[in-house]
Amino acid sequence: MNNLNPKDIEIISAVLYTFAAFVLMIIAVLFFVYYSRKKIIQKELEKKDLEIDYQKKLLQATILTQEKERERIAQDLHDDISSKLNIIALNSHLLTAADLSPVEVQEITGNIITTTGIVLESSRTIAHNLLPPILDKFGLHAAIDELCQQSSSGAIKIEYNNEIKQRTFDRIPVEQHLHIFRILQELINNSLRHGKATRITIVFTKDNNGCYCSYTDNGSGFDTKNTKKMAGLGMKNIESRVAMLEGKLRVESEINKGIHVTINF
Amino acid sequence: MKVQRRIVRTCLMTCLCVLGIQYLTDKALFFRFNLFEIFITSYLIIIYSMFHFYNLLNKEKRYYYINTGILVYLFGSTVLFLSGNLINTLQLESRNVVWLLNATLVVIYQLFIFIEWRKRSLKKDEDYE
Repeated sequence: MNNLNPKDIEIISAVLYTFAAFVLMIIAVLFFVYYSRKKIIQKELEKKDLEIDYQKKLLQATILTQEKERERIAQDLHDDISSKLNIIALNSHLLTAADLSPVEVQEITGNIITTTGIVLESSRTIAHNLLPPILDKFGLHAAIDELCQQSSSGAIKIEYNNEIKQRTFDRIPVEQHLHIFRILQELINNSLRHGKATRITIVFTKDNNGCYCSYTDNGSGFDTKNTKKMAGLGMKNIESRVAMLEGKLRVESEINKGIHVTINF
Repeated sequence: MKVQRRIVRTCLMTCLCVLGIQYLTDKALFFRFNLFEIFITSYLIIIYSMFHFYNLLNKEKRYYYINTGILVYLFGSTVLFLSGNLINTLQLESRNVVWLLNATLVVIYQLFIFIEWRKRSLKKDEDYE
């Protein structure tokens, strides 16, 4: 080494240092690539976990609403039908008793007839609430129209605008119509019950990208950042129905400024 | 994050200590290209900027352009400076080309800084609106 002149030493050290620098830099880059891949995969896993969690919550909400609905139906049946049928059974029993005067018989029969009428009426209402017959017979447009008319009363005004009427829903399979109906039902229900709204406007429009439903009320609204309200059973229900329609849901609301919901499907 | 911080701190301290001792013992190093110093400082900064890139993954791109500029500049200039002594001793006719190259790299680096500044100021305007 001693007999090398300074020039050679310079050359060799420059080459060595350049070589070492390159190798180390490449090692650093490789490390970087390795760790970033790891990080990206981990992030993706987390995202998937979140999605699964969300799906689970949706499923839970569905089951819960189902149970609630069952409870409601059971209550309706019990209160409106079972009790009345009981009365009828009791009255019929009375008829079998001996030595009844014709006046008594008439009274009992009259009782039975009126109660049967009431039972018939309530069973019709229950069935109607479960699935409005108008939806089947006259289509979604008529059903929404009827829903708006039924829900508006006194100070509450619900406006329904749909220029091309039933043709709006031509492209949507008939089985999906019920989802749209239920979404609106739920929204109106929420507006009236929680939002204390007095004016609701529902507008349907259609273009090449599909149908748009715009729902606006003047109720108390809520903070969309408040996750508790956004994650309520009603909202979850709407979300899952919109997902079934393969649509997009956007909820805008501010406290005391009502709510504006747009659905694109 | 904690590990990174510790690595950055220990590397910086050791590097500064080693370089300090080196320059104290050999004052002649001030007047030529100290290959070890060039290499160690650039390499550390490259590693730090890679840390930053790693931290930026899946996040908002803060100081993304400056960081890119630093990487590009350092990758190029390190090699140029490492050959500095060699060029000086060889007394090549066209050695100015090397420093011209370095100057170009610096301009590119400044350009990246400019892009970063533009992006940030534009963003700030949006925030104000």
